[in-house]
Amino acid sequence: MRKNTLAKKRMGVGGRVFEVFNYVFLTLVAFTTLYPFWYVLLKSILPFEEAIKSKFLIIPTGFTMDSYKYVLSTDRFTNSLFVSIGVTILGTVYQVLITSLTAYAFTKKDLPGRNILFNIIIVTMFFGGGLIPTYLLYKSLGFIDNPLVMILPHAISTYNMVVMKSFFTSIPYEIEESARIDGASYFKIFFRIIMPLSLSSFATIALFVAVSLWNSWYGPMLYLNDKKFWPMALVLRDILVKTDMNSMQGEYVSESMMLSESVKMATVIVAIVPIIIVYPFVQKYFVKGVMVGAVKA
Amino acid sequence: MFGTKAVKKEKQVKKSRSEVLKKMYGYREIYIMLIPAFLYYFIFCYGPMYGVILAFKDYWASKGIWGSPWVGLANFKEIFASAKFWQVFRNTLIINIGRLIFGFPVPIILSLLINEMGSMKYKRCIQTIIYLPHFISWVVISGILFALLSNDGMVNSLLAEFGLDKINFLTSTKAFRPLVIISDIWKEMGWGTIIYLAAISGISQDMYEAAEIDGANRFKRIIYITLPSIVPTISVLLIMKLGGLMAGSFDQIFNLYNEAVYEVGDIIDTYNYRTGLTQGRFATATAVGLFLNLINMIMLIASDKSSKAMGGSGLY
Repeated sequence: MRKNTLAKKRMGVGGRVFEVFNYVFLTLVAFTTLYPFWYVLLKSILPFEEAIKSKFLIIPTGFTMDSYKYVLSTDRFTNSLFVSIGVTILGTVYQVLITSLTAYAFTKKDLPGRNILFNIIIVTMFFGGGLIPTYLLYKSLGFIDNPLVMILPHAISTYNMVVMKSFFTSIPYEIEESARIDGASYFKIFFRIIMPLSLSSFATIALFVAVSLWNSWYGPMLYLNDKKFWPMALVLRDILVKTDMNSMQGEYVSESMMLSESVKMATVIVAIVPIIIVYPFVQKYFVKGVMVGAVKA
Repeated sequence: MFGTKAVKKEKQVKKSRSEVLKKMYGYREIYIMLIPAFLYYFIFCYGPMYGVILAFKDYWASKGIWGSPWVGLANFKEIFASAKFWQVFRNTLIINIGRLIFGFPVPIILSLLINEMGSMKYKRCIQTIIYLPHFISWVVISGILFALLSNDGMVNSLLAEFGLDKINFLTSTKAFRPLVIISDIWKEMGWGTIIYLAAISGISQDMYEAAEIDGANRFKRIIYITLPSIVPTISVLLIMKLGGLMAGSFDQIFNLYNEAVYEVGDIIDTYNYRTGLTQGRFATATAVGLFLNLINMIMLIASDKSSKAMGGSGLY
């Protein structure tokens, strides 16, 4: 506090002008970041007559939940919502568990064969089979029209594993050692000591994993022809792509098209909301997580 | 002399071997922990590598990967002779260079400015907001962009209001690349500041105090203390970005482009997708994929090595 006022005294005119400019500029940046989302939200709740005449939307001039009612009552959407929620929950548990166990295993510096094993993993960061070989492999594994394709191939992220490993390494070894002496197994140590001590890293990684699973559409698009397995993101993509060409070039706007426009916007909002709800809780953790990832060698 | 040494050595080897086995036994649980991950890496990462031989074959679905006839480098000759391939090659490079030139400095400038904010509350608030788009998928963002930029969207309505001509942003070959670059900057600029802000927070306060005593004003402190202190971070990130210069941003392009802008917006990844999965030319697409993979691998290794040589962390 005192330091602040001192600094202010020394700031001078140029400094104060900068200060004002800085706040205004960064507020504008934040506004540009948020406005598109706000615009979409308004588009989704405005009644047809209002939406058609509005230009630069700032405040809601009307309110209707019709598009949300439509979205949440259509089988296709509710079904995809359940698929997305299921895939996100199961997939996150699955991936975080495998990623963290692997990371923990690699903290054992004197593990025989550790370097060979680690290099086997690192190679995959630099080289992969590519689209078609992967597709043919998945096909031969029976992943076509198999909803497991949304979870099973997402067992681990090498980058997350490396980040977690550095988290675990920072836990004092003495804690683990005394548990070993008491006869605790490594699994017990992992679940009873390591996990509770690194909740922040688990939260960070879980957020990243959950978001990427929630957002995933590419795998489902390639492998799932049966629409009943489609997750939310893919359904959204489907309706966006189907109609965007019309609205881009069409000169007139009909009510049914406008409805579909607000339905699209409502779907966009439904797809974003879970992320926005979870994200502030985890934010303080992930900043730390990204920093460790950046600093670690 | 030599004999006894050899015997000794053998004994040592035997002893150390049994020690290793003992250690491995002690670590048996740890190996069990690694099993799921290695199943994954062998099946899903190394498994597809076998299919890469398709790049040197003519794929017959009835005969499978192994049974299809070898054609040597015919697939590569076909690709390198096609003008379309070089077009998407060029597009990939141009879009990525554009991203680098216009996008790379943005998080640096932003983090310098955020660091100068006095109010911690406001600072955190701004950070929370600008990190957000990173978590939103390109499917959703393309939906938002379609709404903003379509013929009756906000931007065109405003243009019309001011008596200007409407622009078909999404179908114009002039507007598409800027659209791709700007939307990417918009999405990732905030996220990019995290690393720089972390680097800035590590700068010793003593330097600022000393500079203040010497009468350095704010600009001078930014330019002579903050900026030079994060130069190592900047150069490491720049090198990593250079390493990804041929890596495509499939998600973004695939969700934004359409036939009208293939000429400027089609990148190797999207071209590869259409060749392989839309047209079913598996062998050609595998060859394109292999070529792209090799380029990326070389560039990644080079950037990883140079970043490590500079004292940075590298990829892993």
